[in-house]
Amino acid sequence: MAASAPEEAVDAFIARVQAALDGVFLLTVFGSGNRVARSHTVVFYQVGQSQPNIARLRTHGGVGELLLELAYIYAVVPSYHAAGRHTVKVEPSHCQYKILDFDGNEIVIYDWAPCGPSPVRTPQLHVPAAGSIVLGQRAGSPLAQQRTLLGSLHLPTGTIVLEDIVELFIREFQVVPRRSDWDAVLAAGRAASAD
Amino acid sequence: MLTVEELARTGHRILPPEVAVAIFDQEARRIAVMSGEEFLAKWDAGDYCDEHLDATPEGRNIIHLALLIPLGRERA
Repeated sequence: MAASAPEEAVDAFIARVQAALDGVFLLTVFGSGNRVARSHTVVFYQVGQSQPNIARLRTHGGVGELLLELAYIYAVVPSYHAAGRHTVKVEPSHCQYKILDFDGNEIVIYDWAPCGPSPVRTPQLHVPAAGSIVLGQRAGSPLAQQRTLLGSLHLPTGTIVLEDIVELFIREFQVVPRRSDWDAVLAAGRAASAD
Repeated sequence: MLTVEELARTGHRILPPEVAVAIFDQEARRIAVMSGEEFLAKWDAGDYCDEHLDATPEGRNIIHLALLIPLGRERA
């Protein structure tokens, strides 16, 4: 979403992240800065948690537990309004959503680094909880016994936004949402992220 | 220095640079067992470039710390 000033753009972005996470967590979201052409990062603290960017939630109607570990680098970049006004907007430059079990063991990781050293620049999924498998091969293949670590593969996905992760928790892990209008809030967040 | 609890109560949503740097230092000590400054120096020197960090949980924790690097640079 374009804004006339960096402070306004970052405030709107932080409010969007807060609204999405409010769907299932009780926490406070901060940005590390709002200077233009610099990288900043999202920081959140769940109530009662001294470690940043990790949040615990009850699943399966309250009898299970999962953790979300988030890393989200953003940049405030100059934009250009069709009316000729100079504006700024917040763009992600690296997003990583780790879903962990109650003890911190990795289950799945959604990752997207559109710039940086990795040759994989598109959104991807890692599945470390699946461990390693032997891919079936024809007899005599040198790969016949080779194990493939599914956590190391970069499985392509479409763009995954924070709202998708919150909805995943609610729909697939049966997390009880904290607000009744969660789907409307997530839809509004998705619309804002697409601007 | 304000704590994050105080910042939350006052409605601040942008961390003061000294708080950002302190959070990064805390996370560097927890994940990489070194100060934030030491980690930044090693990262900038390319010490992690040749490692396949995304191949192991420990390496992925280093990636997570690297994604917090903007915190450590907010005072610059």
